Amino acid sequence: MSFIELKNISKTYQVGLEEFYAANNVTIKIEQGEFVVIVGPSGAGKTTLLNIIGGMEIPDNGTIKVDSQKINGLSNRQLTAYRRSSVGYVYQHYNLVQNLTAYENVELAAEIADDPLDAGETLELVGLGDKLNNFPSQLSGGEQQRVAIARALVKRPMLVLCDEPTGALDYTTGKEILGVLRDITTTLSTTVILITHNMSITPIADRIIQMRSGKVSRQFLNPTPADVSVIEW
Amino acid sequence: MSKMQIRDFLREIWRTRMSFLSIMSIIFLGTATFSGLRSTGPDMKLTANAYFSEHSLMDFKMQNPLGIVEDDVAAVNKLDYIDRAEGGWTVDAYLGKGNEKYVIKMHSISKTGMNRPVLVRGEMPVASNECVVELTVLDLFRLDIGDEISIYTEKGTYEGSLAHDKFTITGLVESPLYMSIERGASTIGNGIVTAYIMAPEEAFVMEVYTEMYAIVSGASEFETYGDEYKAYIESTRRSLSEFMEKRADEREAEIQALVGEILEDAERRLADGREQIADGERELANAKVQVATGQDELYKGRIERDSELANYRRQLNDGYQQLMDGEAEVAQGKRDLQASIDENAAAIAQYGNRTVSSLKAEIRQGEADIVDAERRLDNAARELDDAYRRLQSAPAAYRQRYQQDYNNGVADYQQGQRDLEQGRIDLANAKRDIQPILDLGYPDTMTVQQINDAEVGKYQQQINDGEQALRKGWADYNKGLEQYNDRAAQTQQQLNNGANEISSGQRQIEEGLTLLSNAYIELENGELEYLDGLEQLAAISQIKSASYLTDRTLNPGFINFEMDCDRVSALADVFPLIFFLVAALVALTAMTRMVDTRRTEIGAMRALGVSSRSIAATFILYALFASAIGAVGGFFAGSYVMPSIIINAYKAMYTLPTVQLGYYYSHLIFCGVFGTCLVLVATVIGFYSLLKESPARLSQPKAPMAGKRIFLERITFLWKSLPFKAKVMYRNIFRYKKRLFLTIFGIAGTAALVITALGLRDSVNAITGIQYSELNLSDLVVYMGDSSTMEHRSQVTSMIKTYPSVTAMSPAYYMMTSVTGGELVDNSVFYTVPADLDEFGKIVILRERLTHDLIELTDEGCVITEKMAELIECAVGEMIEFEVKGQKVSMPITGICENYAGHFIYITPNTYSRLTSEPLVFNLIYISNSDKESLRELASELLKHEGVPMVFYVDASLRYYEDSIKGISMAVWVIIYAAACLAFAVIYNLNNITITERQRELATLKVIGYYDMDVSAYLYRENALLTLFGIAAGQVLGYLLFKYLVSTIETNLVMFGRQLQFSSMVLAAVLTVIFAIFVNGTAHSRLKKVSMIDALKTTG
Repeated sequence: MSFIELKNISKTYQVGLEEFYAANNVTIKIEQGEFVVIVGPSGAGKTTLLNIIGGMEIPDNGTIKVDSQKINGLSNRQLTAYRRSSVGYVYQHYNLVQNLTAYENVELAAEIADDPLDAGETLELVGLGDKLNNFPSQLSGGEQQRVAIARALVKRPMLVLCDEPTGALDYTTGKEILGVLRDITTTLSTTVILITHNMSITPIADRIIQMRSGKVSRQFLNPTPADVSVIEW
Repeated sequence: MSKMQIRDFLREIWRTRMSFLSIMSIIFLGTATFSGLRSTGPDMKLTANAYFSEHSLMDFKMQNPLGIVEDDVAAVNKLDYIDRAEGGWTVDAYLGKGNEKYVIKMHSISKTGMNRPVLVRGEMPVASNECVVELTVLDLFRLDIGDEISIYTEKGTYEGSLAHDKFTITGLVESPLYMSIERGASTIGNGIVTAYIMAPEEAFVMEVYTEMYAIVSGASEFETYGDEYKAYIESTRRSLSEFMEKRADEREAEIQALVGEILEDAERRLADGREQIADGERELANAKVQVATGQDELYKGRIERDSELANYRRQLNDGYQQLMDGEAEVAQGKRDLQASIDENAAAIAQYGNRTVSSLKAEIRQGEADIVDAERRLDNAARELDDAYRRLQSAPAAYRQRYQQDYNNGVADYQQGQRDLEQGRIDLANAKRDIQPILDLGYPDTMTVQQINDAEVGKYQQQINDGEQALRKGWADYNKGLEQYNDRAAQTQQQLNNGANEISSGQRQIEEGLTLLSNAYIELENGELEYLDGLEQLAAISQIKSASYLTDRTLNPGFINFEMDCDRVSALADVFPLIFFLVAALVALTAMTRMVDTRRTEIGAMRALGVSSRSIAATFILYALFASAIGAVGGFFAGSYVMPSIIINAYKAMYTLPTVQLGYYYSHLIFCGVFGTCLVLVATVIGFYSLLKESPARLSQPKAPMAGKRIFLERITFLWKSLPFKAKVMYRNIFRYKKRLFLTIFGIAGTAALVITALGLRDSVNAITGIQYSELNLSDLVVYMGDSSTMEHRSQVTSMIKTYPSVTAMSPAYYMMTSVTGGELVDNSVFYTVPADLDEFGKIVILRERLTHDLIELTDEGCVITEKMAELIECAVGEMIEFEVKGQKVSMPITGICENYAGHFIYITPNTYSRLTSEPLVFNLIYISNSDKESLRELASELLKHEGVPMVFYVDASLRYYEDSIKGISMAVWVIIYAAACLAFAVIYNLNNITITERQRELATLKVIGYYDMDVSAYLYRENALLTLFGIAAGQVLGYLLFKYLVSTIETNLVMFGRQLQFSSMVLAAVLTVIFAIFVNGTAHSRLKKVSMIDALKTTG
């Protein structure tokens, strides 16, 4: 039994008169503590898949189990509960609350967790111990992303989902972020799933899933994930 | 604009329909409120005006205690500024019986349609015993059309003024003379008029009209409540007044002449009367003398008659006697004759045919015979003697025979004797018989019969003569008797006549005495009436000056209606502004928001080279379109709905058949322009900031607003102690300044509106609540007539004092005055001098408003009412100048008392005496009574007294104000409703904007794992705090608004309660909270719809 199991997941959208498959009969497995990268060109359905895994979208068909819990048939509230306790999300554009300091942003998530990490410590964990009281506008892109990661982590989620986390960052900062994310899997045993269209990131992953037009074209394990410093794009 | 652009435009509207709607709706609301409220006052006046015009309501009413005559009416009609004038009748009468007796006013129905009533049901009356009534009459007695009612007039002014006692109801009407439920006052019964009825002119039988109505030419062109009408009527009034005075003078002269004539007539008649009485007395004296004389004469006459008649009678009796003697003689003679005839009958029978000579012969013979016989007898005798002797001598044998013979001879002798006797007798008889005959001396040749006959004849003749004589005698006697009788009768008649005349004379004397005494009485009466007449003539000159001219303002309810209209208009001045101000902010927010969302698009267009102006034009057009639709829609909706609602509420108090709604396009223009300007300004402001940025920057998503510390954070210990959620809340609140202000202001506005509305209601309540239950405890005010005497006064006061249910009474002198300075309306101030300060203090409470400390009325100065003090801007200690008995007096103000109706100056009797050098003569009495029933009885009793022309029920005022409150209450509800709409509009809009603006933040929360409720709560906390701030601000704003409004709405005569009740403020807060909660509730579903995926999409 894998940690995360997707079986025959499909999601369609109505665009005009046509039906468009965001996810088309996707079946994947992910084990706990893995660093998974889902790659594919724009519109391949990566975000949709991530959303389904994260309980933000409900698949039209198929089943998904996370830690033996069936996710696909849950109600809104149950999905929210799932997210609340088990999922942390990191976005490309950080989505921090501008009006709250870094510390407060993290606290926002900590408030609703049953057994959160200490917000300050989490920020230290991501290397922002000295920028606790800065507003997002007073932080660089990378720092903001770190805050976002801290926010995702403070809940002690099983799962951290990242949607193009380095998309708005420069090369160096991006690599730093990747490093942070990579480290989580080892330090916190969190499963990290990252989606990107940047193939160059894939070497650091434990599992790579390639998607195209809503379908999984290829998924395979990477027995020897590289170190972040190695990759280039 | 090309078709493409139009399509794009419309699509844009659809796409941003929520924004569009919010702008449109706020403008709609503002315009609706503005035009609605502003139209209501004018609409009400318009409605009333249409009603009056259509029903030809009079402009003037003229009354005169002497009545109005046809000549007066004709004279007024001739005036060129009078369209038409008519006389009419109004009679105060009773309707009903026993306990259910109500005072009504009965009006005549104009034949030309002046003051024409609205026929609600049925038909107008035609016959003189038909009438139409108002609804109250039907309700009071549960009657309907077709039923008969009885009307009584009582002794006095209206006695006998109606043609019938019973009237049949033919229809149900409403009269334009009575706008409200007030019916005016009456001088009969308990003084309250309950209802009015109307009847044709023929139902009234008074000689003069009780009033004259006139319509001024051209007055109907003006609106009855407008200044032009008032000015026009004023100028006309002056002319008319002058005319009326002249007319009154003429009339007085006429009447005086008439009365003079009558008096002269009366004088003459009195003189005649006196003369006649004198004559009468003289005649009576004469008559008495005559009667006395008559009686004397009668007496004498009687005596004369008696003697005359006695004489007569004597004569008659003598005559009678003689006649009776005569009769007897004749009768005797007849008897004699008869006897003699009878006597002679035998002789006649015997000797009838024998002639005298034969008789003579016979007698001779007889005599001879006798002689013979005698001789024979003698012979016989001798023979006998011889026979006797023979006998004697005869033998015995022969004695017998001889005896026999002797006996026979004796017998024969005796016989012979007898025969001789007989013969003698016979001869004697014959002689006796014959001798008379022979005595008669008739010729011998006559037979006895003949002689008898002759003798009888002679005798008969004598008898006949005697009878004749008797007859004549009887005839004479009878005649005499007749004459006697006649005479007796005649004289008796004369005497009777005389007696009759005397008795009739006596009767006449008695009648004459009676008549005379009656005549004296009449003369006395006549003299009294004459004196009365003189008095009345004197009184007429006094009354004449009391003839008066009134216009529509004295119709019950007329002025009150205007005041109510003005109050509504006053409301309309302030409230809509609030809406508009909020509209400004909402529009600003919405347009800014919209502009922001199109940021990248605009950037692209700018990059392409499209001019800012052109881009702006689209937005401006959008804004214009939204506000135009909103304005137009709001205008029509508001102008229709609000006046309808408010006027319908007032319809409970006033009779207004058809509501007239005006569409005052000035409102539309104002609102449209104002609203559009607001929106445009908002758009431009929103746009301006964009324009400053370069196209390149525009293409990029807007940099999120930097976070900033808020002031509160600086208070570190406070900040540290706040829970996280609170910190988040505070940060967010202060971050979005526009939202902050808009919410606070919007909520403040709502709360302020509600407070003001409730406060207004409280204010009007104060008048009734405080004025009539705490300040003025009188139940009845009794007015003493101008002509009532000291005696009247003492009678009335003792009547009241001894009335068991009266709890206090205070006579006072009460007079109009004018006060120098300030904006007081003429003749609206009264000074009151109570006769007894203690009793007065039980009924009228003089106290300070804020502290409720009682104010003592002393000789040092006067106490005045608060509103007046405000209007003349005087305080305690300052001097006030006012008029007393024609002179201006000045005195210090010793106290300012709480009062909500009317203006009063109170002074002590000593002060009054000092000022006027006169003693206090009260002209009214305040009475405080324990219950309603006995109050009415008391009033009825008092009105019967000649010194009391009028009483006034204090609760009539109260009821007016209570009704006013109902009208205001409706307006209040309308405002509260509008306030709720405002709250809704503001918060709903803001929430939408907030949700849209912060959807990323909200979506993020959802992603993090916030439940829907948590997300909503996140927003609610902010809203709640803002609402609280808003309510707090609203309390202050509302209080200020209330104060402003109260003094604006107040008319000069009335002071509204100045205190805002604490409960109203609390209620306002609660209501606002309720509104807020309700609206925020709608945000919840909106929040649920925020899609995490869409909101967090990478782009923008």
